[in-house]
Amino acid sequence: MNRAAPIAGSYRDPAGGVHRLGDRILRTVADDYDADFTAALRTGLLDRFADDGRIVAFETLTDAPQSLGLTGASRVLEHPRLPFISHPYEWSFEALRAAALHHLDLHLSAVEGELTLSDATAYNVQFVGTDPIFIDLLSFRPYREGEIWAGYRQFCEQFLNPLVLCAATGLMPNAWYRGRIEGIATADLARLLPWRARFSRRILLHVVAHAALESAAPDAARTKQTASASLPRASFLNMLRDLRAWIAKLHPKKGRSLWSDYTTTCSYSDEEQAAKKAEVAAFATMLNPKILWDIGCNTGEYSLLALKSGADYVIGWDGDARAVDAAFRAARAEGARLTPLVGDLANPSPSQGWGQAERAGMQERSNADSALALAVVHHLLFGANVPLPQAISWIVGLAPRGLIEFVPPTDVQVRGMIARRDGVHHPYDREHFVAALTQAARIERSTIIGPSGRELFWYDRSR
Amino acid sequence: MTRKTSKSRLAEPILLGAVFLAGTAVAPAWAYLDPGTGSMMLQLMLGGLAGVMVVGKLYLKRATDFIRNIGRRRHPE
Repeated sequence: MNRAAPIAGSYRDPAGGVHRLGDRILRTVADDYDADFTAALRTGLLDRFADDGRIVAFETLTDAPQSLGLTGASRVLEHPRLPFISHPYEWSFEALRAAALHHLDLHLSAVEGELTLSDATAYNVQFVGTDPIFIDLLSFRPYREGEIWAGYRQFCEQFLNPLVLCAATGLMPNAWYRGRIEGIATADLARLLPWRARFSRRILLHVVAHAALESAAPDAARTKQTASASLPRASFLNMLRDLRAWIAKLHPKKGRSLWSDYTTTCSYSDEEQAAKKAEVAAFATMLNPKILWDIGCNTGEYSLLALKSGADYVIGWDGDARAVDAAFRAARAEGARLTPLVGDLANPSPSQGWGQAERAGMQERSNADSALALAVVHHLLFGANVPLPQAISWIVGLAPRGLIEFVPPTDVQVRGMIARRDGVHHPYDREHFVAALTQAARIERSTIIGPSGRELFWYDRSR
Repeated sequence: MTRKTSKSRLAEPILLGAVFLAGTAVAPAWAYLDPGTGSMMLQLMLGGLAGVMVVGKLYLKRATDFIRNIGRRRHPE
């Protein structure tokens, strides 16, 4: 008998859980929640949301839960697999904002149809390209007149506060969010906001007053007061609409980004760029990658090119959140199947959370059949002191095939990096590069793209 | 002498305001996650504020209508 195994991130909600059975993604509906789920289904909203691509598609299986090794469940649903599961701390500002708006819009539509969402966790939103999609069917349940918004605090911590932090201070929230995976606490944000930001009515309410109320210890009277708390429907809808209007207008405060301007300030000629593009296009055309990881994707220029040339889906990674934001905007403008994510390549997302397994790490999630690693190896070597063989074997480990660029030590940027080191660094030249790559994979072909000596290597470790 | 634990100085007036503005109907929080007492209080306050604004607008309209009517009575068509 095939037995479905629970997915580590799905344990909190007693309404059910997500399981993996081979390649299939199954969701159980717990006995105790079945009445609520049936009521939610009867509204017809879930089917409509799924048809519109606002929530993940689902199908009720006729198999008895026990036959799949699942107990305590009244029924089992099956979802199609998404291209990739990313975490909110890997999203750029634009992505987090798109997810927040998607969540609010879905909640507003749900309440109109007499349903509500039982929580507001950002981890319930995923991306297909740059389109957000809600994945937790069991969050829907009938709306009860006058109930408070149970997920409000969670919405603030996981969506609103990171966005406000970035809009008010220009700080990118990713590192903090990654360290505190439940999001940014309202009290913490309230302490950091510049005084000017506090004059905003919404910040005053949702951050300053909210933090003050949280800091008040819950005595018996307050507990009694909130136990009988009621939020009229009109007020609830106003709250959702007002948050939506606010978030739609938030933008990151201006700040410096080295890499989001890189494509306009890079150190090599137009001819070399054209040759590099031709090689990337040839790679994508010949291999037709199903999932391509663009390691060090910057503003997504080569990811988009790969998509146009034959790649089906690209996950981009870059440590510069502002460059990733630019990539997100570019991908959205083209409706491209590119999901650019923020990730420090020298310190990728770890497996963390409950049991150190709740949120899988970057490498653990690698589903790439191909990789692009353009002008990135020297950054690992000079920026993070990673020896060449380790940097190359890490990249090759992420995907069985790939295109990897060697930037010679004579390149202007690399020369600058070397000069600052006073020449003291791990060995870095073509000979060592080729030796390290040969150690990790087979070199299928190499192309020098111009007089600077930049060279692109196709590797394959699958044969 | 007992010392009060440190709290935000804003908390008490806001809390009093929230309690004052809060509704009275009973509707438990149907949730597996803890909505947080402070977050619930804020919603009561927001709900209350919205209510106050609706009532305020109503009275404002009555007042402006009243003044307009005075004007009309003085200058009959």
